[in-house]
Amino acid sequence: MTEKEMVDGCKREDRRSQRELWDRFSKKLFALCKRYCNNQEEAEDALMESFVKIYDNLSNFRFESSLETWMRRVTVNQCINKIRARKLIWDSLTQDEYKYGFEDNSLNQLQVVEILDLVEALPTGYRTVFNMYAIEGFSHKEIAEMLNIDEGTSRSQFSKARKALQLEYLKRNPHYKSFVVS
Amino acid sequence: MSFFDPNIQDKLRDLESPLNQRVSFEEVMNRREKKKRRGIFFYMPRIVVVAGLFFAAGLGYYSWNTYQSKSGKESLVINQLSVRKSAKKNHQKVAHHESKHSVVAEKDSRNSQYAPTSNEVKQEGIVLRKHDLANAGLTSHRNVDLNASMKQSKRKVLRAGVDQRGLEYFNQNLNQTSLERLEVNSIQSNAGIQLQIVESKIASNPIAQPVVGQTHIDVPNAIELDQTQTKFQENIAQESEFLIWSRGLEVIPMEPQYAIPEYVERKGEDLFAHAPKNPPQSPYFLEFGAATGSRVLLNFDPTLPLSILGSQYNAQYQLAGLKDIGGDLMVGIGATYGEWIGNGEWQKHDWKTYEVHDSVVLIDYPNQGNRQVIHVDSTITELQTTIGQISYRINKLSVPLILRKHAMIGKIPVRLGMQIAPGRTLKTSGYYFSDFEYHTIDKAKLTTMDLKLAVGPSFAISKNYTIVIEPNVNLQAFYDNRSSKLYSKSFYGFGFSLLRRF
Repeated sequence: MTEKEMVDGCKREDRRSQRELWDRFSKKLFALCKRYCNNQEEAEDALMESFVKIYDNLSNFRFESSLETWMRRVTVNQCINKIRARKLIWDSLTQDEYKYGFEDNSLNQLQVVEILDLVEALPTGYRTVFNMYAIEGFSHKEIAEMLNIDEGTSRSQFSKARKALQLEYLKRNPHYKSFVVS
Repeated sequence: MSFFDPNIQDKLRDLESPLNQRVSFEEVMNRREKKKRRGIFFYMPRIVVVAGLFFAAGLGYYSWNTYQSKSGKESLVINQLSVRKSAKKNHQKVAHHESKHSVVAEKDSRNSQYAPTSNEVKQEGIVLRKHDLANAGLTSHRNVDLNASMKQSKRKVLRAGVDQRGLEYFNQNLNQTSLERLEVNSIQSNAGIQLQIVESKIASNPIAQPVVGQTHIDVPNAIELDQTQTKFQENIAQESEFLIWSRGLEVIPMEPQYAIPEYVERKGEDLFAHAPKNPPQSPYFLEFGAATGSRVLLNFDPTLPLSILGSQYNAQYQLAGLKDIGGDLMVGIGATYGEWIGNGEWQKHDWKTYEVHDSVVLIDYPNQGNRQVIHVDSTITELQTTIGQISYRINKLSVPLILRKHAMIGKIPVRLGMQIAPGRTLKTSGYYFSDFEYHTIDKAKLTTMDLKLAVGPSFAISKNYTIVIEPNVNLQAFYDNRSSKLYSKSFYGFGFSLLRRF
């Protein structure tokens, strides 16, 4: 079944197409939810609520982007709603505090699993922005709009996230004294 | 620029996580179904509320209109005046009509008669709604003359009793253009006043004619038929046929065209003594009421040794029997179940007294061996303030003694309610605690006394049912027999009552 056939089937409320969509993307989106949410249960809820939204809103999908990108966006939004519900307070840094370079790619030296493990240890605010910027590839402007925060706040959260990652990594691996994130 | 190497970023994005049993496609579908159902209920209350508001507004308007039409309490004098006035007006109308349409009007020494052509009848018929008939005072289909032999007639005649109010109503309102062509054919005086209405389904039928004026008006107890009456004898309908149109048709207002017989000019004579009366209505009512109230205390009362702040709510459900004792007053008795729920903080002031025993040693100098011990006993009083939290609930049953007064504020019918309700608590429960103590509230049987004052608009939703919306102030008092203390609080709230006339 092609992506188009699957989407058209879902629009017709065809149960087979809906099942196909679930089978094809649920695990990937579940991994995404787990990156954003604090615990397993919250991630499970976010995933299922995301799929409810996806099924409900597939009629609005115009194939202007890939289906997966669209679904990821919906799921990220759902996760953000979950985070918002916890009334997260975003603290902002001054311009000087986030002047560190963003081109540093020290984290690339790590394995994917290690990165995820480190990211999971981040506080919610840092983790959300880090996920959105570093993994999903949203710009700070987009993140600011999606999280309803200032662009500067997004940058500061990301900067803090990187520092926190560095500290966390050094804590876990004391022999890597030279590992520098920023 | 991407923070990660694109390969790592792709790997991170393409990671999959295995699902557990709690997460499944079926569960998603179930949630979706629930959401849809919830969506319906989410919007339904708003729809129901909006529809209810429109409905209530319509009912209110209808009941107000009904009330207005009935509230005149037609005294004979007033109605004679109005009828007389109407008669003059209608005579003028007739004259105007005659000149305008060149209609032949026959007059004899006793009455005047206006007989428009069939075409005019076609244009100027009447269509009645059921409530118009009710407003007009038409008593019921029981007054219809029935003639079984004319069962197949295409015309139907209603000969219904009409009282003075109805006569006035017809004069003012019922001379209207008809789609169904119901026509008032004659008004005649006999035992009271009788009105005949003909529903003509054949537009061109020349028989259907409004008739003005009556004969033999000086003989109130005699039934005198106009000559047109004989023409209608063949048009008398079955009761079943009458019922067909009595279930509501449209009304299109038109200028009055009927004159009123001259007998209404006779002053001081009770021409309507024999008019059919409405059946007497029961003075007894059953009332169901529900009311809520709340009270919020923001500050402790520093003057009290024990004070509480927070929110208090009460809800009361009441069933009562009422009797209309006249003068727009009602009295009654009933049963009320009430709940009083409170939560917040409590503050307790305790003045504690301590006895202090001090010993002072006085040492002489330079002879330090010479010492003297002085004992000083003193009392210290200290204010201790304890703050904690409290949550409690009181259920009670009371017997309200009820007084109601109906009145009009402008054009709006309102009801003033007052009741005093002695009762007993059924159950008291709750707890209070501070950092150092925790207590449950005793189960106490307390004597209660409630006083409620309420005022609000009333809406007649049908002949027998009335709704009253009542903002209220409610004083609730408890008397503790053990401590002989009286506690009382006042609540401000909202309630409604539904009245059913037996």
